Amino acid sequence: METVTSDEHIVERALTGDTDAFGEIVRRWERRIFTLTYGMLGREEDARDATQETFLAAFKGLRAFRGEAKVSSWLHRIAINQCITKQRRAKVRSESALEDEEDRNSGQFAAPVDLLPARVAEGQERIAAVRRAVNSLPTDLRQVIVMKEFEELTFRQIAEVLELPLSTVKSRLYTALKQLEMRLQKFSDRDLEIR
Amino acid sequence: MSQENAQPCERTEDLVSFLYGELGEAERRSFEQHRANCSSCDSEIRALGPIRRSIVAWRDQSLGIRTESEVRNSIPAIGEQPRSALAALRGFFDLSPLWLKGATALATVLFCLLAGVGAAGLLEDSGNAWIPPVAVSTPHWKSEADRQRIIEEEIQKRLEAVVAGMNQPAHPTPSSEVRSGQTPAVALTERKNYPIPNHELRKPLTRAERERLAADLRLIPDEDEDLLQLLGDRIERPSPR
Repeated sequence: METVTSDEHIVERALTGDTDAFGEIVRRWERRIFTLTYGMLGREEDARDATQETFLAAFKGLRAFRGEAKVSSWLHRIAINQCITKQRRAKVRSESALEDEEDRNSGQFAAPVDLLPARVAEGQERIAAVRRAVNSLPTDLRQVIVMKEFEELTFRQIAEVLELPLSTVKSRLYTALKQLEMRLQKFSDRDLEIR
Repeated sequence: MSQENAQPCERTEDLVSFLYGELGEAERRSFEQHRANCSSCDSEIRALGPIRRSIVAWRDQSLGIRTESEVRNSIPAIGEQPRSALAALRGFFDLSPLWLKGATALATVLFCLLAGVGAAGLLEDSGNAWIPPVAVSTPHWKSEADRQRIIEEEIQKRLEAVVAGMNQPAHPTPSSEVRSGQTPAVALTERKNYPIPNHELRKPLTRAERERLAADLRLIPDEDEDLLQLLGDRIERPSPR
């Protein structure tokens, strides 16, 4: 992800003692990393924690960053590791947490006026089902789905971040989509068509 | 997974790339030709399209959640900014008990009253004190004072000389100190602190003598006759004792 001043240059500045430089990295990447962690963890609070821990770990490991990979790839790997660690700590929380999140979020958004309440509830149920399905994917599949659908990274970028062959990334994504299709079979095609 | 096992097409990578629009133009045309003849790829694209859209719907809602949260989180950030005095006062009154509100209101009223009285006094004082400093600093005033001082010194010297010639004082006076070496200015300043007792000036000069003396000095213009008169009045003033 090239910018006017490259991330690598900013990291160099941070390494030479520029205290504001790392803040610039955080500002550039926090939204993307949050998107990734949210997609991986499915809970806003967990995603915030993971995002914070990602940048904390990055800051602590700044001296270990040798510039062999891009800063974006480095941050993504740290974020994914944070998510995996977090999920290991709370293995069984996903379903109940998702239910809680579903209940909590259900009242946060005003329904479009052109939709009937029944239709809104149906949409919420469908989205909750998709979320559950994604969160139930194995980590290696989920991270590819999240990076592709949430972060909208290209296959090449995902391959770079995950240090995987391009073909493996595509294969994983295909497998992930197929598994989601299977888990969401109870929803008809009409139900899955989101507006 | 069941469909994956049911005779999957070998071109799954191209299928995924096509699904996400990451095929080049030539590759895309090639795959579309393949899709037209491959029922597996065609059915998978038809099936996976809605799955993708459902994920995007979740993503949009998730990003919506985040945007909503960002707005919520931005409110405390604004609150950290220094509050206005009015807002702080309002917050104070919202949280304070009734008795504290009353006491604060009373103290505020008293403070305002005292401040008003003090300000009025200051204005009054400053109004009175404004003119004299200007007058004092005027060069004309200084020169006039100097002139009067010189006149007084000269008159006093002559008076003392006359008095000394007629009668020796019983104890030293400021005028004798002048003769013993003090400058007239110092002597006169000291004299202001020690008014001349009339009984020591046993025979004060008459008005005619004072006028003659002044004429001899040739220092006093006609307009300063009143000053000479005032000096005479002081000399002739009865002793407070």
